[in-house]
Amino acid sequence: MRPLALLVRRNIKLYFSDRTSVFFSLLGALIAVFIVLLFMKSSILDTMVASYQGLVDRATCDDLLNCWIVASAAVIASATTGLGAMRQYVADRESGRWRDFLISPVTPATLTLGYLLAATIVSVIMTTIVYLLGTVYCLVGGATLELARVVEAWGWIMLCSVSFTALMGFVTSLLTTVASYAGISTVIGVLFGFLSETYVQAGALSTHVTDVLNSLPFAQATALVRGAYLDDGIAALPADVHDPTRATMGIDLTVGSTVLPTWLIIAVLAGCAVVFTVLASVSIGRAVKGH
Amino acid sequence: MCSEKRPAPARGPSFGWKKSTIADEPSRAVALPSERSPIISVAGLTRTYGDLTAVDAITFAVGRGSLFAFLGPNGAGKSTTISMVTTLLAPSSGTVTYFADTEVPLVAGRDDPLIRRAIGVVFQDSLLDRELTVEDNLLLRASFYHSPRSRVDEIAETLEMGELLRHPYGHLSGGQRRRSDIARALLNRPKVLFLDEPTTGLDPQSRHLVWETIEHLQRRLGITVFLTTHSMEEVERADEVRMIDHGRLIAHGTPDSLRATYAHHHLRVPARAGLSRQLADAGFECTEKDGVIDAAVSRAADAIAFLERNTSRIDDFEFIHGTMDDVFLALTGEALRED
Repeated sequence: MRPLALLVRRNIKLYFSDRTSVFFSLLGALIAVFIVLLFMKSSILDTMVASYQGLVDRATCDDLLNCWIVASAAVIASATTGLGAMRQYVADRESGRWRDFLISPVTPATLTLGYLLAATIVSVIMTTIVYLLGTVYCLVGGATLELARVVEAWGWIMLCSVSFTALMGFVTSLLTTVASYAGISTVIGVLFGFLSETYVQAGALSTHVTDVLNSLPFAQATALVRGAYLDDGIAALPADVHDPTRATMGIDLTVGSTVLPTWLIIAVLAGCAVVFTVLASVSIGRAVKGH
Repeated sequence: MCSEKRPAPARGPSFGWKKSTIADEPSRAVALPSERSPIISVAGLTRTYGDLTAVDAITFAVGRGSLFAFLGPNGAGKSTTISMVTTLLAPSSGTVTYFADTEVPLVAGRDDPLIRRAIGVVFQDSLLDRELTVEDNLLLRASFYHSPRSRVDEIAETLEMGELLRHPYGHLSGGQRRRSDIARALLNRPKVLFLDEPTTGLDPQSRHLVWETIEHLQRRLGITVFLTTHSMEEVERADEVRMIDHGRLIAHGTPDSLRATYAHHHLRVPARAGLSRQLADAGFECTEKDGVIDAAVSRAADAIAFLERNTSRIDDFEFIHGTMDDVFLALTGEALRED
């Protein structure tokens, strides 16, 4: 196990040694936060207050929206930080550094696991940091957050880290140059914001588009985390507005006329984790053997 | 004008070189290292890429404990051959066999993990992680061989690089990085050390330090060194040389024998009336430029004889030995690039 442990340690160290890369791996989440906070928050709040018709005051809407932003940013970060950590795989591939590894008895499987495990650990660490900072921000702002729900939401975020890092591992395994990686990661960072229904809320899209987005694991993952994180805040609202709030804030997702149950979303994410871990392992292993 | 390494005697020409460098005939009294006791045996090694044959059924051996130089112009098949010999690339056909200190020979393709434990490679590119310290780099690679941490300290002491361990690899000078690369290659106590252009891009002082290190290791540890290089000076250090071009082996021998066979010496004398004709009559091919006659001489003894016959007409001369550069040029049509 020692070679694997040291490879994981090496990959994690290299990720954190490149501060620019760390920053850019968080950019997707930061963009989501700043776009909503700076450009959209005021209009969203106006819309929310108007829709509640005086049942919910603006300050409460503000708290809910802050929690919504934090939950969304954490899910985006779970994917983009995992992607950021996989940069080392591409850099090693392009530089031919694998020759130095493969000239030793270390196996391609160990190398492959070294990349995937390190990327998952990085995603867990960075997403947790983003989540904790966001939670402190919400609490300071006066949001209603109970520890149990915060921990539950964190648990779902960790599931997102595992699933989306595996997906990013598979995507990255197909890349051969750092330049192509840079292009892909920029696109993914922005795309994830749309696919998770963060840049554009579900209520603003057509039914057909919403159905497509809701069918994908990205919006589903965000819904899962939002559901846990905003649960206490929504519970404090008048009962009449619970369901509309959950629908508008992308917590209850529907495809057609079917509301997606929580167990299905968890199963989809878990399935993604397994499938893409296998695919990434096979793809990376092939790349390493055929270096 | 006379070039010499030792003070000239009172009379006659002075040739200030070691006797071994003026061998006109290849010395076959002693077998080459590869013929005495091979540690690597390559037979019919071939690598094709579609219709392209990069390496075409080459056969050679590497002598145990020797410094073996493998030369070739760019695109000759050198890197492909080395990749196959070091198990990084599977051959299309042929065999690579290691006769390390095991009872059973190790065959590439079948015994790759065991072969990789017996060899060390210093790649032309620096492949250690620039952001990590030398120590972190070496500890990681040591773990691949399940070597203890003490092995890193031992190597650092042997190579006198203890003070470099805590520095990021990317902050080191070229020579220091090379020593770190050599340290990495020695972690597993290899029987064969592959050096792929080890001093390319280094300044003369760093080159000297690197070679001091390599020769010290050879003497102390008896390591076999497999060298690829474009440096004439480095080739001259080799016990045995193999040259490859267009995927095929084109020459083999010691540096002395190759020079004697493929390189011309040059005798330069001031132009005097009739001297050119004398040289031509002696069978030397001459050119004259700026008052100097340059005669291509295949044997130093012929030059000595001519000078002795013409002492009254020659009051100065320069004798330039044929070099490995000349050998390379004669065999490949390209110059052996000296960095």
